[in-house]
Amino acid sequence: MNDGDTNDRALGPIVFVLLLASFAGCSRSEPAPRADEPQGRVEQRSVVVTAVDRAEYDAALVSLHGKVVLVDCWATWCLPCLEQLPHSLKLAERHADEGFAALTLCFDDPGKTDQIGKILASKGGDSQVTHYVSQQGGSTAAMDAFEITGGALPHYKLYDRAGKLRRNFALDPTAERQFTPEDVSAAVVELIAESP
Amino acid sequence: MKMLLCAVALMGLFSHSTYAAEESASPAAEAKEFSVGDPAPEWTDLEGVDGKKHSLSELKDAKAVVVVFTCNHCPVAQAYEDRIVALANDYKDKGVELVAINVNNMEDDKLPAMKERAEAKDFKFDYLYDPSQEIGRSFGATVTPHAFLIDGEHKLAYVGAIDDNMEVGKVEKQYVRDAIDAVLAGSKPETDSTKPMGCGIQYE
Repeated sequence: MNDGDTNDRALGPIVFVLLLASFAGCSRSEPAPRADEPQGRVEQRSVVVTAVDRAEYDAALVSLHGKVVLVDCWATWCLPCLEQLPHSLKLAERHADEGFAALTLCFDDPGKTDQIGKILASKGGDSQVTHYVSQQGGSTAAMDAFEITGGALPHYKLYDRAGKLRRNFALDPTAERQFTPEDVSAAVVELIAESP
Repeated sequence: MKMLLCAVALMGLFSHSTYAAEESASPAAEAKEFSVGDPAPEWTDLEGVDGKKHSLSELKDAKAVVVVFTCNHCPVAQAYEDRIVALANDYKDKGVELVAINVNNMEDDKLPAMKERAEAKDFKFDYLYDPSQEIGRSFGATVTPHAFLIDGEHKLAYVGAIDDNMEVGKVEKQYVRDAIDAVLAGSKPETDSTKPMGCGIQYE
């Protein structure tokens, strides 16, 4: 990667995505459904990614009123995001029966929903979580539209049951310590515990 | 312009309260970091890929200085490398200096790796390393790449993204180039602040 060969570098991310995609492909070609799983469940596991603008995103949030909602803002080029995605997906699973929903919002080319979906599938994303990609891709306009503080990913937004944005987990150069996935979980648990 | 400044100020306050323990954080007294019109934070004796120490004061004759916080490992920073090189080359003869600074301390971003990168991409500008990360915090740099334009009086004239899209083919607005042109023409940039986009700087 450091040899300065432009072609190599340009290919790097693509190879990476293809690799992830091929892993996702492998795991899905051997679905191995559990005996207690109803048939058809396997099919639902394919990850659908929908392109949204801010208005559509807001409408989706309105439809989730009554639930605590975590939005995991990420991008395929953001390595810490890729590491932390499973954390959000597990949170969704763990708290599914407690009035909690997780969304993912990807800041990449909305024309690449297939690739994005494959990465999400490889990270454990399934039909319990709604997956979005920013209509404006990875542009400064998208960072503005979705109010990504400091333009830095990963970024999390946590909404309460009334749909009010309660926490914004963002990189802060003035902070002594940056947030961790554990901080996100703790905030989720705290909000779930609030009376509906 | 006023609205923009307001927005930046609000953003600063907001981001500060975001990770505070209290839900109803009072953003009151906290001074915001660094914004357009402020004197630029000074860096002093930061080691460059040329093995020498560099300070902002060396550039006192420049008509403008572009500071880009960047690093090696980040795919967004990599996507912008050629654009940064071109920016430096295109404006060198007009008295504009470009300085790249890395404050990330992961192995792939440290000075030896920076040297390889600078050589491979033929950087003709200083690429400095601040393992203390202080200069990043002083500027309020959040991501790589994050650009700051300093005018001839060492005041901040522009802060934000280099342009409006990491995919070079989709770029419509050349924020930094437009801002430099304005400063060179003796006026204020029409757009003096944009939201950057990139990999979060790994502050420790």
